[in-house]
Amino acid sequence: MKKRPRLYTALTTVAPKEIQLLERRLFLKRSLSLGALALLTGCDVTDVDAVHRTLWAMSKWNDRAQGWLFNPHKLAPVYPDSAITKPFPFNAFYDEDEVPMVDSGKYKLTLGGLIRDKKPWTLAQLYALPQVSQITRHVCVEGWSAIGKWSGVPFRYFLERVGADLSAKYVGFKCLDDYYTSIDMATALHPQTQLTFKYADQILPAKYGFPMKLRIPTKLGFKNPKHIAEIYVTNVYPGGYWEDIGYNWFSGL
Amino acid sequence: MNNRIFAAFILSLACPHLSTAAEKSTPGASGGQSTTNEAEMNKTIKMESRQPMNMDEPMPTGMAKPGMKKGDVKTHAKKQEATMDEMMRQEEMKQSPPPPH
Repeated sequence: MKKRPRLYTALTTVAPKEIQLLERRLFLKRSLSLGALALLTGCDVTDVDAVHRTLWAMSKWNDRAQGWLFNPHKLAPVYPDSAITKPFPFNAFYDEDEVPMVDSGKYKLTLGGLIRDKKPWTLAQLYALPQVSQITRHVCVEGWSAIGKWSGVPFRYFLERVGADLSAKYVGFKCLDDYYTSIDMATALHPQTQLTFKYADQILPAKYGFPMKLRIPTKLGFKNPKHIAEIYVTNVYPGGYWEDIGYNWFSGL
Repeated sequence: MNNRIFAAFILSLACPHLSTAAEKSTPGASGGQSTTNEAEMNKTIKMESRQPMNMDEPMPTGMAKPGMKKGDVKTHAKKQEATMDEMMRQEEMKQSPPPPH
């Protein structure tokens, strides 16, 4: 008698209901692939403008869908100290020896847009705010991820403190390295979104964004601006550097 | 046409999940309250050095498209600022109460 393959034998021990669930997942996955294929067959790839317009419209729709699906109460996974990645990778659009140096004595955080109290904040004032820590995973759109320990003030606390219009749609960031980006208000108010002053219990090193960065464990790494110089609140779509050249704006995890 | 719209919808829902490699685990909370010492901050600053950014060099990140240079960010930021500043000024004018007579 012919011997059954090991995989088949293993499957016979699985309850029929679980197999049905697996098949349903497979069906959904294949439907998605088929949907993508069907869409691509409708594109004339020689018409570059039309392709860009289609992709841009899809990305915008993607933003809306992610906004609807975003659960403001669902926390990103947290990890033990032992899971921290050492060394934590540096990544930017410039080299590590070109990281901007900031004079902490002269630095002031500027506020703009729909914020009631727009007085600038010194570092000493910012550091006096209550701080919390999180050990979370930074996920890069390039395909790598790393776990780090970040400490700072919950961004929601800061926005409430300065009287930001929490019903506005966007929070934008201008950075000292000229980088700019923006996020949705729901993410800004998420309990793990943090205005970060420390990495691994030390003052945030320049390469990780001194004097402060925004840590958002529910979004891809490029949505975590470093060296923040200005924060503004608005209903006007602010975009971002990578977002304006085609990367998805919401970029949720 | 309807099939195409449906396919776009399905794809748009799937994209964020396909593009990330985020590991799933049990959520929780971490950390306690602390504040940051300014003396500690000054010590950190003195330890670091910097070279001016070479704006004409290609970007060293995998996110960059061919031909993109480090200086492109500054150029885009200036354009974006000029556009946004005007729109936000109008937005703030609409929101602020009229001046007293």
